[in-house]
Amino acid sequence: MKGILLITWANIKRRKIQTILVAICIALAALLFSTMLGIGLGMERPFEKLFANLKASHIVMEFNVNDHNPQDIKSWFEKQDEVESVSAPRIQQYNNKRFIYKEEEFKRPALLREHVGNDKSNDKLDILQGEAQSFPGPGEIWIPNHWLNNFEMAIGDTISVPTKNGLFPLVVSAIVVDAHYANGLFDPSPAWVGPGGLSLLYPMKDLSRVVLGVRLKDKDMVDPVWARFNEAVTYQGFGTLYAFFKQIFQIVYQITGGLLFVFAIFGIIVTLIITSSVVNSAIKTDYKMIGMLKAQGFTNRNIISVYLIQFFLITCVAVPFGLIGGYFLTQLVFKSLITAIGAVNFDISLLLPSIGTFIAFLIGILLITFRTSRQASHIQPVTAIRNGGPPQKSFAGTSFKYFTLRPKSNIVLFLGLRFLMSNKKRSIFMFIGLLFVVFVQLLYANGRNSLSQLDDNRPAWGFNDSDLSVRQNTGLLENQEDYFREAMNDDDDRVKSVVKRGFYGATIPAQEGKAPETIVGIIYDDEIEKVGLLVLEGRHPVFEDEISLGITSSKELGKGIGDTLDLFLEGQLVPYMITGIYQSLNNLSRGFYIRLEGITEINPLFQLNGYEIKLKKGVGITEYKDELIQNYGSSFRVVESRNTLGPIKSIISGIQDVMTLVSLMFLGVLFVTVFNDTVLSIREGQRNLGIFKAVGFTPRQLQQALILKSLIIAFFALLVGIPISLIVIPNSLDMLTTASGLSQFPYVFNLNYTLLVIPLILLITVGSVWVASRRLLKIRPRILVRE
Amino acid sequence: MQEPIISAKDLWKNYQTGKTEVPVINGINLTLYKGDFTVIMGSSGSGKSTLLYLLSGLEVPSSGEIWLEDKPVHSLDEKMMTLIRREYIGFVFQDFNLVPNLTFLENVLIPAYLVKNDREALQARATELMSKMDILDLKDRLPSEVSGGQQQRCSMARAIINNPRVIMADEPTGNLNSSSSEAVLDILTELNETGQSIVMVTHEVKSACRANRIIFLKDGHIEDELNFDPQINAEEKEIQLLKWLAGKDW
Repeated sequence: MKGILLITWANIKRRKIQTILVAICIALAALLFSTMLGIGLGMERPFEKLFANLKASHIVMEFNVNDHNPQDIKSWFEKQDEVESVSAPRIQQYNNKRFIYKEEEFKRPALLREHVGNDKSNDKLDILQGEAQSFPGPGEIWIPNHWLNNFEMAIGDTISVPTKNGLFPLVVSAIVVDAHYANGLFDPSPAWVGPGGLSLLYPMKDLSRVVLGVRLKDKDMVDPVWARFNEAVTYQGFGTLYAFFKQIFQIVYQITGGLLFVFAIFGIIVTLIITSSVVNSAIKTDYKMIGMLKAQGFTNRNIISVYLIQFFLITCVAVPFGLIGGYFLTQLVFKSLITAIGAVNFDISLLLPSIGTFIAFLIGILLITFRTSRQASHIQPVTAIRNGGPPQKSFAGTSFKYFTLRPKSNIVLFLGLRFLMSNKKRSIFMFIGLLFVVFVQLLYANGRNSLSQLDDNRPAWGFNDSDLSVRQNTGLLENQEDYFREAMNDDDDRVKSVVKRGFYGATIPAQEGKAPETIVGIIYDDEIEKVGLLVLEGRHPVFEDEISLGITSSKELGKGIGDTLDLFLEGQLVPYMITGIYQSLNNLSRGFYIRLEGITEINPLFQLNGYEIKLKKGVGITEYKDELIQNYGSSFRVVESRNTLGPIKSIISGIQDVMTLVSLMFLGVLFVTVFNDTVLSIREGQRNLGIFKAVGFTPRQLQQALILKSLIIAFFALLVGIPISLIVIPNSLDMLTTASGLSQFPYVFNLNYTLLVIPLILLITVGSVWVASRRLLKIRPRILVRE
Repeated sequence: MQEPIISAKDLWKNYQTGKTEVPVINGINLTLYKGDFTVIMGSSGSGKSTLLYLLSGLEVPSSGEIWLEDKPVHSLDEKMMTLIRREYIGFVFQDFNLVPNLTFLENVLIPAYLVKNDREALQARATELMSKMDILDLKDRLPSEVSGGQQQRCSMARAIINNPRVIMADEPTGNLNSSSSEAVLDILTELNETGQSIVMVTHEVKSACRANRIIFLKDGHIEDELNFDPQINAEEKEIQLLKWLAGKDW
């Protein structure tokens, strides 16, 4: 055993560069793998913990007190065995007008909700900053932590809330986190006033909406309880269930985790390839030594043990480095989440991912080492000692003319090809490694491009492509004559089209085994295509009895084009025929589009209060917006449509950061892979290189041959990798984003970025060979020849 | 008056072994002449191979000068040295040092293709040389597929394909049986008879008798030198050499 350990240690010392390279690859792959596991296993923890700590409700209902008596609903739930507690009804007020902060309108819509007290049974608020009170005092407002992060608000700041009587100032007295809306992806986002606080601001007739939360003993009982409730009560409000909150909370991490899963798998494959190459090369260069060891009584098992122990030690040292990197990458991924929930410490346990990564890598590396090192068993001592190396293959008579030296051969190219073919297995391994790098770089180039094209490619993401979004600030009836629209269409030749739209909440009645569900749709009074909204299949509704459905709703309901969907609205069950399926990041593709006639048929008084304006080409959007504001004052709130995607952009930005980091890591992997291959080539062919030098090759020519060899592999990796990647990437992205409601990822191919990947990869390849072969320039031929 | 082709002035070479420097060549002054067949002899570790490598530019001296005709080998960088070596030196190694995955023909052609552009003519010359060395029918074989003697003949064809000024041979018969050794030495002798300068390291008396000048090294310096009378035959040469070597530690 001591003999085995001595040889193992000697091998590690003798091959320092190789050991370091393998260790780097193992560490990088471990980093990706542990991060992927960390996200996968840790994703739920902050949400679950927050939910438990704040005793958050699994069912959150919002309804009009004119439709339901809150006390009746509360008492119905309290009677259910599965229910742990029901919150007191909390009044909520939302109008179209934006809050004012530092004399500017809030960029995102917000609502006010009364907080009845942290000492009550459920839906507590975690006070991050400010005095620990049970609820906000008179004239005070508690704001969510994501406002602090996004708008840099602070305790003591004043927020002006628009009321009928003008702006009412509220002083920020606490920064809080709530379990349902902590990540800031919900619109409108709530802020809290104390009990009775809303009645000081608004007339009672405007305070008819209440929120009621139901916390269950077991979160798995949400669906049965909700179904039972809907059977018992003809509920006409909104109900948001635990699963949806959780999905919204986790969506970023699901996509990032999915991406990292792909990258981690690639990283592991490349690591195993490199490990296999290194073991393979070690056996070749140790050929004679293995023969001698066998002659001295080493068994095959002893020889294999040398390599197993060697790579066991390397893995043991490298993986912890990867885990440390993984810890920081996981922190980076979860940064937005940690900031949103106001956690001071990174509270996601990485123990399990670390152990999982360590075991997975140990098994993987040892298996591949065992498999590769088994070839040492076939080495015959006498042959090995006599020949000093494995038998060589002849290229004589090959049909490929470049592999034989001919009068027209370019001598450096010939040598490069010979280097390439002298260890075909390793060349193939390097080719596979580079294929993965090409894939990752193209995924990065085009994926990032697609994400950054959100503004210009809004229809593909499920958002309309209007230039301006206008909402009416005044009462509905004041807009009867629709003068605004007429002004746009008739008198303004800068306007291409104006479509009126508004939101509408409808209930999908209980179906077999499924609870009734409230879904929010968007109603348009004109051709929906006019605002650029796309369909995946079919078409958007044209007639009053038609509907197009978000793909998630379509899947959940099991309904497709041609099917009839019954919606419960305005107290009636109304059948609509599904004419189209669309996708949208908005509400994760849950929802529907109906034409205005489809609602006014049931409720003639229903009116839309928003306009989507599409301007003609060349018309300045900001200038036109300013003009509208000047003309209409505070009657309308006009925003540039592209500025309404803030929260989604923040998600995208997080994903882009991770993609950038992984792309850089894979460029590092590319460098290491090529460097490793070059070092192995030099070591294996050291004697030959010495001979080449002795017979008249300049060091530069040999270096050029080595560069050519790697360039040829890189060229073929690009040749094969680019078309394959361009086919596979859109489908992979589709798969990754399906959970977020995008069954067809809005992939935007960018030729320039794609072409940029080619010189980038070739340049790194050349650089890596150049650096790795620099030593070759310095070695005297005699040393090489002598071995 | 003989024309010098290689000269060494106060040549030193030390090897670093751990923290200690081991002197291998200690201040050698030497001139080799065109058309000479010079043999370097000496005991193991006397520095004969190192001297050969220094003279051919494959090794860098620790100090001193080496001149290849008018070229200062000692002060050239590796690239320049390589370019000069292509033209001046053909090397024959003890263990042949053929590139194992190149065929015999490719091994012979490779150095020629580096120097000259008339590839068709080079092919013809390679074929002619291989034919002379009696290895033409092995041109598509790999080194591992043929005998040591055949490999050494291929190595010699490679060494002379560029018509170098000097052939340096480091114990070219060291790994060969007697008949193969004879064949290799015959080729070297024939080449020398056509005016080719040859420097050969050997410790075999029979091989050394092919030379017209013997340099004896001991502990890194020239201990003695013997010039054969051109008129004497091989048998007389051998007797003279044995007498000369008597008492020398080799």
